Amino acid sequence: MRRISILSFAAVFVLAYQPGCHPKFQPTSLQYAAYDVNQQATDSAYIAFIKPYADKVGETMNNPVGELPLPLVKALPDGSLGNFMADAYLAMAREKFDPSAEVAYMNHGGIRLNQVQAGTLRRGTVYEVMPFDNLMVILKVKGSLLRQFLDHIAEEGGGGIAGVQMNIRDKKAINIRIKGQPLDTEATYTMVNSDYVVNGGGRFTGFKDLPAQKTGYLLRDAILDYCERYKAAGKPIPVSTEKRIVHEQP
Amino acid sequence: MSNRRTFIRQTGLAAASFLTAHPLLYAGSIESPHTTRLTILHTNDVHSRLEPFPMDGGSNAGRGGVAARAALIRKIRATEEHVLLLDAGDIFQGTPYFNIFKGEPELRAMQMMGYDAAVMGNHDFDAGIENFADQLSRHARFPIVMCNYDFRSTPMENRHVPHMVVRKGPLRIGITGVGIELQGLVPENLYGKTVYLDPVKAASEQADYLKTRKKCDMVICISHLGDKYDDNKVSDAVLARESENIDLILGGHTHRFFDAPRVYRNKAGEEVIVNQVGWAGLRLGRLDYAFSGAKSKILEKNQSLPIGKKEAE
Ligand SMILES: [Zn+2]
Repeated sequence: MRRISILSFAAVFVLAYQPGCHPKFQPTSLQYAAYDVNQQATDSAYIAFIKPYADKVGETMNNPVGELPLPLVKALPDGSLGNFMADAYLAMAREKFDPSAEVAYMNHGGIRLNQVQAGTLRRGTVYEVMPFDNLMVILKVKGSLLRQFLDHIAEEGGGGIAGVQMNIRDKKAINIRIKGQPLDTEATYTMVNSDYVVNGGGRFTGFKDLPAQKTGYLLRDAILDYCERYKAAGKPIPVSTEKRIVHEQP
Repeated sequence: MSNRRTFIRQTGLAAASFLTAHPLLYAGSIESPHTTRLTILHTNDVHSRLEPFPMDGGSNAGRGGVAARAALIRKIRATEEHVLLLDAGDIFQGTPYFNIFKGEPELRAMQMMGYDAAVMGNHDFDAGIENFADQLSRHARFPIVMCNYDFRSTPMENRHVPHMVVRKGPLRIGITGVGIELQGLVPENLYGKTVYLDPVKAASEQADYLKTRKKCDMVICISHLGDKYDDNKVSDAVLARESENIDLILGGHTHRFFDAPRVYRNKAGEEVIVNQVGWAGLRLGRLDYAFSGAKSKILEKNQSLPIGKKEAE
C-alpha cells in the first residue's frame, strides 16, 4: 500500500517537473447540493446596496392598480393569467384603436410569473408579469391564416387567448370557434397581437409581411389601463377561469 | 476593489498550492496526498431578482434575493479554499429594477459577490446589445465567456472572451460558454450583427484547446441553450453527448430545477455532468469536486465518477 503511494508520488513528481508539463489532476468524486436561498441569513451590505434602487422602484411600483378576486395562474393549454392578459389587450385595442377587434393573443413564454396572488394587484407585479416593452399590433387576418396560427399555438401546447375557443388534438387546433361561431377560412378577422410575435418572435412567420396597424402602445400599458378602468369604477379586476383551449383525449 | 482582492488572494493561493503539489511535502502523510477540492457555485436565469419575492402568500414568498445569496456564498467561501462562482445567463429582465435601471444593480451585485464568469442569455439582449456592453463596462469586471456568438462589429466585440483559464490551487480550470440561437427568439434590432454559430462545434473546439494546449484539468461550459427539448433542437443534453473534452455543463434558459446533476456520456465515452438551478435566484447550485493527482487514483476513461448528495450542514 505504502509502496504504491510512494510510487505514485514519484510519478507525479516526474510529471510535475517536466518543463512545460502540468501535473494532471482528475476528478475522483463529486458531491452536489442545491441551497434554497431563504432569508435565514442575509448580508446587510447588500441590503444597504439595494436600498437606493429599491426606494426608487418603490416610488411607483408599489402603487395599487386594482383588486383581484381570484389568483391569476399561468398554465397550459390555458390559464387565468393568460386569459386576463389577452382580455386586457382585446378590451384596450377595442377602446383605443379598433372597435372591430375580436381576437387577442398572449404567448405562453412571454408570461413571466407563474402566479399572481388574489388581493391588491400592484404596478410592479404587472411589470413582473409583462416585463417586455412589446408593442400592440393590430392585424387583419384571413381565416385560413388564423387557422395556421392557432395550429402553431396548439403545437406550442396552448397560450393566452381571447375571443377564441378551440380544442387541441395531435398538436393541431380543431373545433375552432370565434365569438361562438365556427372559424370561416374565407372571412377576415381583426386580431390583437404583439410586435414580438408578429415579427416572428414565437417562430410563427405568417404575419411578418402582413399590413399591420402599429399602435406604439405598450402591451404592459394595456394591462395597466385595463386594470385602471375597473379601479376607477370601484370594481374588481375580472378574472376568467373559463377553459378556452382544451386538450382532446384521443 | 473586491476584484483586486480576489486576484491577490488567488495569486497567493496559486503559489501556496504549487507547493502543496510538491510530492515530497507529503512524505509524512499518506492520506489522499494529492486531493484538491474545488467548489463550484452556480446560478442561472436570475432575471433581475435583486429582492426576495414579496410576502404575499405565494409559493416563492420570501425566497431569493442578493442579500441572502451573498450570505450563503460568503459562508461557503469562509470554509472552502477554492471556489468558482458562475452564472449561466439571463441576468437581466423580470422585475421593475431592470425596466428602470437597465441592469446596473444586477451587475454590481454580481461584482460584489465575486462572480468569476457568466454567459449571455437571450434576455440579456432585451435592452439592446449596446446596453449590455455598456452596463458591463461600467459595472462588471468578470468576463463574459462566449464561443458561439460571433460578436465582430458589435459592441460586445471587446467585451467577451471565447474561453478562460482559472487557476485554483494546483488546478487549471478551463471555462467556455455557449448561447442560444437568437433568430426567432430575440428581436433582430436587439442583437444587431451578432452571428450565432453551432454551439457543439464551437464549444468542442474551445474544450479541445483548453485540455490539450492549455493543459486544463477540467473544462466547464456555461450554457444558455436549455437542458433538453422534445425535438432535436440543440440543448445541454445534445452538447453533452456530441462534444468531447467538456466535463461539466452549467445550464440555464429552461428554468429547470434539477433534483440532482444529470450524467451523460460524450462522443469518447467519457462522462459529462449537467446541472441547472431553476430561476430567479431561488437556489444556489453547489458542486464539490475532489481532484486527485496520484496516478493510482485516476479513473479510467469509461469509469463512473462517484456522485453523492452533500450532507446538510
Ligand atoms: Zn430565462
